[in-house]
Amino acid sequence: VDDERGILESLQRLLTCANYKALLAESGQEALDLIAKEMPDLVIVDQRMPHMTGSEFLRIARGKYPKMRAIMLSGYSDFEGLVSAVNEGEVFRFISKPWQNQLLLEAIASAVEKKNMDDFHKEGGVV
Amino acid sequence: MTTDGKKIKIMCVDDDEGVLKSLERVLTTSGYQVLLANSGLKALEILSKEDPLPSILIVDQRMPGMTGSEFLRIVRDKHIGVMAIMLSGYSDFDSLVSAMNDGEIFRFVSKPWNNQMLLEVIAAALGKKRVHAIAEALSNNIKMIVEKSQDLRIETNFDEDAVTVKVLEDGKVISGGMMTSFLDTVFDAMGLSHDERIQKVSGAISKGHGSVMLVINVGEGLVLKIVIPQVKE
Repeated sequence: VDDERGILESLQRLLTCANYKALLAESGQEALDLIAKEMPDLVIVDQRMPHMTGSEFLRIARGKYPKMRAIMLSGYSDFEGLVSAVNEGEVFRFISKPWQNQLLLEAIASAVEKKNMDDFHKEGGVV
Repeated sequence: MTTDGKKIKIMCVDDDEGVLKSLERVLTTSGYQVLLANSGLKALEILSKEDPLPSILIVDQRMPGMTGSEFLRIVRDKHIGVMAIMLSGYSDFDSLVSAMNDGEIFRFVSKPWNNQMLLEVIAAALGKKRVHAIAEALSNNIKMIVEKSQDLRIETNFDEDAVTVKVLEDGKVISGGMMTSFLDTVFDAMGLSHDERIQKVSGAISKGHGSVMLVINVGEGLVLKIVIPQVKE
């Protein structure tokens, strides 16, 4: 979730190469709509976005999906925003922009490692 | 605040004796057992001897010798499953990033703190830890009982919201009878009555990838996922 298209495209390239399925959203609202349809295992979110900050988005998302994991990616050193990302968004990792791909991939791997058994996709209906 | 009649233990780490005294007062009054350490090193020393370990650590960030994040990093590397709350009077961005990333803190609380708020944060941390403990116990219990009584190999795994039990095929032919007996064993391990079994299982089954998955709500915000091979009769 990032309001900068260029960032989203870089992340998509990196994540797709690393065999993840990337869903992109340009705002917190768009992300909330997308999460309602496709529950992702992990959310990577920018802090400073117009209308809804990353922390605000996480607070709302956390209310609906308490187990969702989140990594915050930000180019700003906003202390209060970070406190709210920890306390309300329960962010798993904070990574500064510009990020190092290897570091980001490691953070993603540790965030999703406990979810590795959740790869069972529902194909049939409920019996 | 007790578990099995014993007081819940909280360790406070701060170089300011006044802060330690205040924390001790408020936590003791609320029924917790409190351990105090005036440095990260002292805290590590206490942790190495203390049994059982404290459930919660309340840690100051700026301390001479070892910062709160450095201390928490060592604690995390030792795989001590303890929830950490950082208490700090400084608004230092980089320290907070390191407390998050290295210390995996549960909450950040500013000094001076509000006692009521701190107690609520502690209660939330204990709630999370409790669910984790239930998931771990359920996972271990099922594994132990199934491995003792069944000719099946299983893989168990748990995280914050789910315990997953997967029956491994190992190239063997798994019959419907084996699966029924396996599920009975799991439900026995969970202490479910016959009626509860029917109620919990109905509507909880889905098929896919040659497997059948049952998702059963076990309460406390936890689900049990049972993945078994699809049996061809």
